Amino acid sequence: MKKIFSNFYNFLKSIKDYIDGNFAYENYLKHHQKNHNGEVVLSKKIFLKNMQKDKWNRINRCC
Amino acid sequence: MNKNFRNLIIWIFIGLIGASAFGGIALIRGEKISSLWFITACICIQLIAYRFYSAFIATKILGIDENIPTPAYKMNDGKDFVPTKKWIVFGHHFAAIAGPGPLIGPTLAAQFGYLPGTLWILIGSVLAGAAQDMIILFSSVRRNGKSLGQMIKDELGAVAGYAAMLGTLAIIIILISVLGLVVVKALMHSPWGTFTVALTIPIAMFIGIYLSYIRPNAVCEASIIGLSLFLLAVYGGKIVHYDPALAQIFDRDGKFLAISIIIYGFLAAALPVWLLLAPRDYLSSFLKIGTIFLLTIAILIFRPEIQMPALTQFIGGSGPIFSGKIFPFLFITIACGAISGFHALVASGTTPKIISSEKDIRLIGYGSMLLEGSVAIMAIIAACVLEPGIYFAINSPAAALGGGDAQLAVQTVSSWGFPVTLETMNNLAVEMGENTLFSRTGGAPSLAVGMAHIFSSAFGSNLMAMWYHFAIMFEAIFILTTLDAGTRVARFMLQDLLGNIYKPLGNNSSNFSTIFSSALIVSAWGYFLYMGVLDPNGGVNILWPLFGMSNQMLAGIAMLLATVLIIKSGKKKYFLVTALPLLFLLCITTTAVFQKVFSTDVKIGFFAMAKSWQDKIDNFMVTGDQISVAQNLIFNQKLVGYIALSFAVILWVVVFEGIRRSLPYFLGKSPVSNA
Repeated sequence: MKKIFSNFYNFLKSIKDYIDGNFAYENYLKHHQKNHNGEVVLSKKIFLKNMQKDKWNRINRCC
Repeated sequence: MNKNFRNLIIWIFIGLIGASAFGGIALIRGEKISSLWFITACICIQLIAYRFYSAFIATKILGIDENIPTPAYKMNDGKDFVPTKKWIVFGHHFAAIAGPGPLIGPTLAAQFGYLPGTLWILIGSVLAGAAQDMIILFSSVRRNGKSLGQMIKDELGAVAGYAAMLGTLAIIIILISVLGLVVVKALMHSPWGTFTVALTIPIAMFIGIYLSYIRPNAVCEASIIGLSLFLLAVYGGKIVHYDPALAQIFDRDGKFLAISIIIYGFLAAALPVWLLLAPRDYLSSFLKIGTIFLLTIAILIFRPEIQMPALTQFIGGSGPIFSGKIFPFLFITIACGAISGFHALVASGTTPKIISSEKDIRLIGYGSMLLEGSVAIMAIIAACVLEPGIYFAINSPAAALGGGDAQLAVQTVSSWGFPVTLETMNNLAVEMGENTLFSRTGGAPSLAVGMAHIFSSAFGSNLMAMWYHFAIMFEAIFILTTLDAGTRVARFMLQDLLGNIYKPLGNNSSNFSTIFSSALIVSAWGYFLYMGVLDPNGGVNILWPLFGMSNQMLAGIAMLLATVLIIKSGKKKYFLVTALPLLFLLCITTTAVFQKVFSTDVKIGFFAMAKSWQDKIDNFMVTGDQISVAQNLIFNQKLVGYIALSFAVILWVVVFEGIRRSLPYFLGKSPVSNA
């Protein structure tokens, strides 16, 4: 039972991280560290703002 | 007991229950059936389709291989291409494909009775819609996340690519205009609804500011605040409704509301994304998933009886809500609930770039469409739990009900064999907190009455008006999100096109280009919206079939691409999996276009209606100011006729290109590829 609650909590937390943008920013940091080490890192605020802008430049809502 | 044998018994059991429920829906006559039959049939059929049909497509046709890295890994840039957990991708994809279409289409199609729409949603979604979404998603994943347009250009050539691009632009413009019309019809002379929906705009902007300046990126927290404020807005509408001075301010006619939506659409397209579009999208996504979940629970608790007959006399084509026979107009009207071309655009957009493993394609591509099909089934239940007399009195335009006189309207509906009284309609309007419910076309009000009926029966009957306006807000919120998002995307597409003619017009960061192209797009859908508002038959009769035809045309193009890809990959023995739905789409789209354009019946044919108005002018049956109105109607009917005709031309151009390019592979004269 404890395991079920723990899995459910982790599931909810992963959804929250995805929605709040934590997941995307962590990915960006990992990618940046691996491939662009030494270059300027975008702040979370600017990164998420750019991501949001890009998202609405293409079809992502349907009929 | 052997595990395989146990599984076999379980699946036979599910099959038998599903077949019984499906048979019950199809065959029971003369007695009312419970909505549980619909839910049972839907769940069992979808489980079987997912377990067996999607597995067949995945293994035999697509050759899904979890060892092949997806674009999310191959091209991981930490931004667009990011490996993501499958349930999150599922939620993202479902939120993207589930719009107002599967709610509105089935509600309108209920004019044929509960049976035709239910059968098409159940069959169409598993054999056509879900298969299309899954195959296009797979194809995009194998092609590094390419869009539908790029894949069509690569596989079918530039002509087909440009034709598909024009078709996409047309579908967006028609979609926005018809959805705008649905909102106008839902809010006309409804102070409560107008106040609530108007207030959601500043609430969304407040949430945008909250997320940018007060608590940056705390989306979950902001969404809870936003949703609470939305509920307060619904309650505030009640105060407005019962205050004569406030009610007068928000009691607006169709023309005023249409112009307001056009101005709003232009401003929303020009405003920064973080201020309005993004925050409202968060709120509408939560509202959408929450309301659908709540509706499912309510149907399971309340188990409402279906009041609509299995078939009505309108299958012959004389329907008051939209004209035309069951074939092809049932399929054109349901559209997104069974198969949607628009989904192919989403399935080749963000989703293929974030999938972690090819084995997730089944759940995300096929599973999301099944869920959309179940939303459409719930919409048909909500429409059919209403007394048919009430359903037709709400959804039929004034012209079909005797010109706006309430007594005449109930007499007309009753004469169709669906008894309803003036007292019933008046009491219902009071109960829902509306001034009137006669001729509230567009589908949204009757869906809201149905939802309010189900919610209040399951969760308490003294909040009927609140539930009704909650449902109206729920529908309006994500219609407005689609309207903003669609205008933006269409603007970018137009800028791309205009950039080929005059380079500065293609510059996305230029203010002049942005304002110019936004104005062109808003003028285009605004024109159709205003035309729909002025139309004496309610506008839905013109615009919804036009939207359905454009949507099914795009589905035909996507299905053709899927067929060509199957043939080119050397799996031609399975090509009927997509070729049969394609053939069906070609039949319904082409027949619908030809009937809507060339039918001599003025209720169906655009040109026949134009001729009828011309005859009235020529025979002096319209005079004075009415002549210019009639001339406008003639122009509009001809315009939509030519637009509908262009859909058939675009579809067949792409089909011929597809046949021409895939024939050598089909005949074994060209070597096959692996993807």
